[in-house]
Amino acid sequence: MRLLEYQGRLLLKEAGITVPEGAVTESPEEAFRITSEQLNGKAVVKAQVPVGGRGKAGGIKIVDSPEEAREVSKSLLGSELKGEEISRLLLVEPVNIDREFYTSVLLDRGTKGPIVIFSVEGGVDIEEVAAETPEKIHKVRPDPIMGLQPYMIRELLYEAEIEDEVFKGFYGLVEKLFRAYQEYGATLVEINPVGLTKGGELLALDSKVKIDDDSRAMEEVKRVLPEGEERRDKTELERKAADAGLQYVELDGTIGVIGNGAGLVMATLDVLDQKGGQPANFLDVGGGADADLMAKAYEIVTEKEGLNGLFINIFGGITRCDEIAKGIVKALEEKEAELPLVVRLTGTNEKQGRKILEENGIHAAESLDEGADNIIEKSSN
Amino acid sequence: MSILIDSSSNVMVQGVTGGEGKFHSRQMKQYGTNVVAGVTPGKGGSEAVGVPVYNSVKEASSNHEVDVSVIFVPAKFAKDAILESVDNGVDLVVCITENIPVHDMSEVYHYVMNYTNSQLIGPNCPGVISPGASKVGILPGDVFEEGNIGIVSRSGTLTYEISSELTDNGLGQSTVVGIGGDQIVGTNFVDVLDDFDDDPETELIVLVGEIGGSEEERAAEYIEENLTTPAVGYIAGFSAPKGKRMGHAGAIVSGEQGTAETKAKVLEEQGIPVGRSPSELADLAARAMGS
Repeated sequence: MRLLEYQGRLLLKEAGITVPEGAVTESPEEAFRITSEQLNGKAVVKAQVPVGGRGKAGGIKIVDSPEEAREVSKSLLGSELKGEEISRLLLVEPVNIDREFYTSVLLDRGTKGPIVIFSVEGGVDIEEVAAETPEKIHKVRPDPIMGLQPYMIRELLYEAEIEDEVFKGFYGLVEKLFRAYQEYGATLVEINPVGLTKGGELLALDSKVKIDDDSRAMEEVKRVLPEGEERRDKTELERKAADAGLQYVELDGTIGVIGNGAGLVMATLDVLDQKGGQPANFLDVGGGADADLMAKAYEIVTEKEGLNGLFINIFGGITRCDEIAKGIVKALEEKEAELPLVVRLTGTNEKQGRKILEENGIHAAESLDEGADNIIEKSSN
Repeated sequence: MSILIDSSSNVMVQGVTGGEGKFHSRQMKQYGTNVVAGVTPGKGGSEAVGVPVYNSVKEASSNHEVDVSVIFVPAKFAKDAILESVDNGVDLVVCITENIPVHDMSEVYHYVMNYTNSQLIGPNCPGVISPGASKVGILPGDVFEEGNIGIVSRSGTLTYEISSELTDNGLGQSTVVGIGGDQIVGTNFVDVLDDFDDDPETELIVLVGEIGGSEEERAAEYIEENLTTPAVGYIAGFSAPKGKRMGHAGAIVSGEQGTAETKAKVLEEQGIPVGRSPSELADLAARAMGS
């Protein structure tokens, strides 16, 4: 899960990294109050949306008075930035920065271990720096079992020619950032820019944090973040599905889809798409789904408005077809089907599953192609 | 012939007394797999699905010859279970468990690669089957048939879909390997490709990939440079939107990277035809097999 800036800030702060004074809000009145009471009358107002390049897109504004904070907040809240609706603003104190740097720790798919990156080019897109001036990017790859060693931090900072007066500060920052990566089970912790003040203080001015959904530290992460705040990037149905333990992604089409296994559901969406159908969602009931979970999946998928058909495509493995069939029957008992329904059922305990469906008047298609053709035909009537 | 497992492979089940462990151990036995022992800490001395249960892998492997371990334990114990097997010298460890923390897998991956001679398949995978000989994992046995196509896949159920299409078209399989859909898995496409290339029974390789990462691209280049066995491919996720994680932790398109379109293009440039649907893939495979 990707955290918004103000959420990542809370985790970094908890890890002992200094961030500028600030607070988050949803209302212009509160923006006024925060600016006058907490930030000495001046503030940087930052839209909290999960996209990069917010400054250039107009999502970051500097205000010189509480009144201006209120006006700017009024115009930002509810508007869209790069397709994302702005529902929250982070207000922080403006700080006088002498120089800007970049540092991050990420889990690399290639080496399957962490990479620690440091650069004197802060405040700009690091991928651009990597493309144009790769010599300004310094990396170390700690062994995931041994962790980050002191010599590695020294190596990074000497390569970047960090001066003696601030060396210790940077050393501590990188050390804390790596600890945050480990302790929260993060896949990315990035501070860009790191601000160095005239007084030699280091501040995390902006950050990007991603936490592994299966992290052992999820409880800890949720403790630090305000309740329910970690999933603001999901739609209401997506949140509901996540609570039920289902992988659901809302799409734009009209045919609801339930399947088991991410790969098979993706293939199902592709086949529907190629045949001219428009999938309304991705829903993976996962491995070993039982009747209750299947019924829940049915409930969530059919809750979306504007559907004109439902396609259930199950290939049993760890999932048993009889459980799936029971779930479908259960769901239909609870909520009478108003939609055309096509079920394709095969694999583990297929015979038992088909029998349960047939006893309830549902014929199961034999192949993915047949099922997809059937639902497209039925849903376009 | 086959790769990784055959009818002589002796299999131990970690988590044999749990619901899934028990169900699939029974299914494996019915298929003909030599399930020789089970391990569940605290349940040693009992019996499950007709095999003795031990408290530790050490005990199990000192009483039985164990070639393969298959793991069904819950995610938070999976790292421990994998390490217990590799530290006791089990050659092949197949981890079915999903939702293992990626940091656990980062550590396990480096440990297994650097400090042991074991091979890990998975996690979050369906396992391995050599049709007619042995299956280790959760794959439904009756969709597979003995034959000459080797399949390697990142997905579970999609692998069954494709295998069943092939079987229906009279195209059997030598071995089918599900490597798992997580960001970090013990065995990658290229590791399996070499084994297939060395297997005289495998005449065609089917590579089943999906959006995200660049493993398929690496595999395509590897096939072109190093393999004599021909290959065909399938990529899931042509209609997937950008930036949304499609179920698997690894299945996400970021920017222009990792789309099904770019992957298919790379495969095709390396001379590997790509099917747009499972049934189209079966047609391509039939053509490549000359039937």
